[in-house]
Amino acid sequence: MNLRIGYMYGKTMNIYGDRGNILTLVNRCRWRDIQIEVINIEVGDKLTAGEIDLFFWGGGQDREQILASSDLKGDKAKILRESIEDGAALLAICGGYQLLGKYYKPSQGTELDGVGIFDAHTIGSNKRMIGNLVVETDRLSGKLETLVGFENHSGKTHLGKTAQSLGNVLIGFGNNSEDRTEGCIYKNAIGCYLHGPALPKNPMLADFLILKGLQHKDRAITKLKPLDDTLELQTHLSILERIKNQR
Amino acid sequence: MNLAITSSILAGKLISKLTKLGGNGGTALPGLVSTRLNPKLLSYFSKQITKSSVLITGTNGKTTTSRTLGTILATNQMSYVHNRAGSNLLRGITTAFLEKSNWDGKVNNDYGIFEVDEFVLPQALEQIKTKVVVINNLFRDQLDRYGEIETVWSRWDKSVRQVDKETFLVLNADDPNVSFLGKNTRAKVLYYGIEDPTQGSTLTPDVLDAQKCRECGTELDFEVFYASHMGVYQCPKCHLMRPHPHVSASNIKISGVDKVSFDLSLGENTISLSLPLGGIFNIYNILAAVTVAASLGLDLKAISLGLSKVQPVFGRGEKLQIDNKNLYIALVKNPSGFNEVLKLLSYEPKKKHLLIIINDLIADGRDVSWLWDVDFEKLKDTTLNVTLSGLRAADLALRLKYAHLDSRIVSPVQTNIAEALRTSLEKLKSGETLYVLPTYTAMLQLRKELESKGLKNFSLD
Repeated sequence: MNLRIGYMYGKTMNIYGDRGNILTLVNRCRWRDIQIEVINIEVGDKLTAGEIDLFFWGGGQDREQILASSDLKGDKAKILRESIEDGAALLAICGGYQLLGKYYKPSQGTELDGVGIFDAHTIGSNKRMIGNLVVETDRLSGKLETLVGFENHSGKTHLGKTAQSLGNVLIGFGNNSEDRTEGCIYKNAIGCYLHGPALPKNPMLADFLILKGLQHKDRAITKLKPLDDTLELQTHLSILERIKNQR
Repeated sequence: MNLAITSSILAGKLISKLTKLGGNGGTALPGLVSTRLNPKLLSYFSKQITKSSVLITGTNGKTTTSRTLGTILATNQMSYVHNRAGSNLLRGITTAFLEKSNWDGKVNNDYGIFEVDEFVLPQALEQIKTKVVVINNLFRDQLDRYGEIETVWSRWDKSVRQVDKETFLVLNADDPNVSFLGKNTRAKVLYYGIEDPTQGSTLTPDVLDAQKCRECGTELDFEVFYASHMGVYQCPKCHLMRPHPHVSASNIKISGVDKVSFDLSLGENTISLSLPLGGIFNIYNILAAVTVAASLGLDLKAISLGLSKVQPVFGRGEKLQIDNKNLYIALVKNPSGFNEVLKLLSYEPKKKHLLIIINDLIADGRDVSWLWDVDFEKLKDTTLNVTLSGLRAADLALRLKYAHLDSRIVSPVQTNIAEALRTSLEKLKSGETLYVLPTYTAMLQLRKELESKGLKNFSLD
């Protein structure tokens, strides 16, 4: 059985070490003998319905977002939406997250259409929200856990009435620096501002995505083989400690 | 001279003396205080430069380029002011002037060599009467400060549109983002570049910071990549080409981390050079310095005389000796530079002892995401053991796990730099080399540590 990972616009939207997320997904599958295939989805590439089990989309600059937004029209956006409805997993960070809402209005230039998976929209501001980001969430396992990362964005994302946030901001700005929410989760799709990259030091998030991706293939799968995450969790804790000391 | 200027100079010079007595490098404070007292001080100083001031910016290579240029000028008995102590903000440049000036603020130098932070170029141009502007390259770096790479590029673009037609603009032909700056300026543009496809790769690097044609937005075709996105390129649609370099290196031989030879061409003339520096990045730095020297009127003979005196700068490929063991220190501060250092290490055939030190203070960049853009996978088969240190050593340990380094060759994290240096040196046999790769503030700490060990034979400021 092959877990098929769709790497969205990896050539250009990889500004912030986000390829570390792909490395993490790939390795954590291999260590469990899960066969995987990474499929690059670039501007102009076609997306086939049902093909991808787990999407990853990283951050990029405004210039690249414009290209991606105009590429994600018609069928491609429709197939992406249907995949999520069908239970495929997705992680989108920053620039990718912003384009999965309803629209993104940069502080300069015209409004960009979003895919509309999340009931959210993003408005560019002239304030850059940069710094460590710590989030508290119970959406992954049902129990409260922290996610750590680094954010760097000027877009403020506002969640709509039906949207569910990924979690609450403990340290940092999050979606918009106003309502203390961070990210958005819809079915198995997650959007957030956690660079860092997010997955290596938040292995619970990586495994959440891998499990949901596998379930997209085969609903009978209910759990993953555990890995030795000593180093991952040590790093997670050392970052929490470091952030505390910096404040 | 008015009273405001006199008192600001007095204050600055006093602080400079005091910080030196206290044993601190204090490279920014005197300039900071004097500028507070008198915002026009830098402009007052820079007007006294009798011949030319040179501003040098770019993500990588500012220091080595400036030092090389300084060596060329000094060898030819040309006097200059240089902010060589490290601070490349305006206050650092002001400090450099404060140290060179006498107590009434007179500066007796013909030239100014100023390393300028990428973000500060526009302000530096406003305050310093400039004859030559050098832009080396543009890579992702300190995004927690700059926001986006594009923000830096736009600042440069605005700056070069404003300089006058008497100014020389020295640009790297091989960096598509940088060379394009030569299109919209009145300045006299001089390009430098590498002309040796055998030194390049046709494989597209995983991470690229210049892919699209600046003219029409089409993806560029690269014939060869020399380092990251620096190479020979053209646009398949609008046929934008890499400019032909006025100064170039060909017939390059890299034989180890501190040995390089190549043919240097300046217009019609070519000479062969051998230098104690390593790697492609340093060849670019040399070419940049040579291009500036030529724009200041030096001929190839005078330039090559200067180049024969060039030595690596502390922490940028310098080799030191400590108790019959060798230390090789190479600053790493962003993925492109780090990847280049890893490539350079591969020229040394033996398996290596490594000490990598990652800090996340403001001067390093508060965020360490960039470690995931570095090709640590390369270290898998070439490393004997690696010690990890610095404030973010844990992040690095995790990165190395996902780069498949055997946990047996990765020593437990040792956040304290002095401890890490001691234990990693203990692993060496006499005559062996420890390769130390620190971020910026880690390098400064390391330097203090080495000084406290009584090591004095390195090129301190």
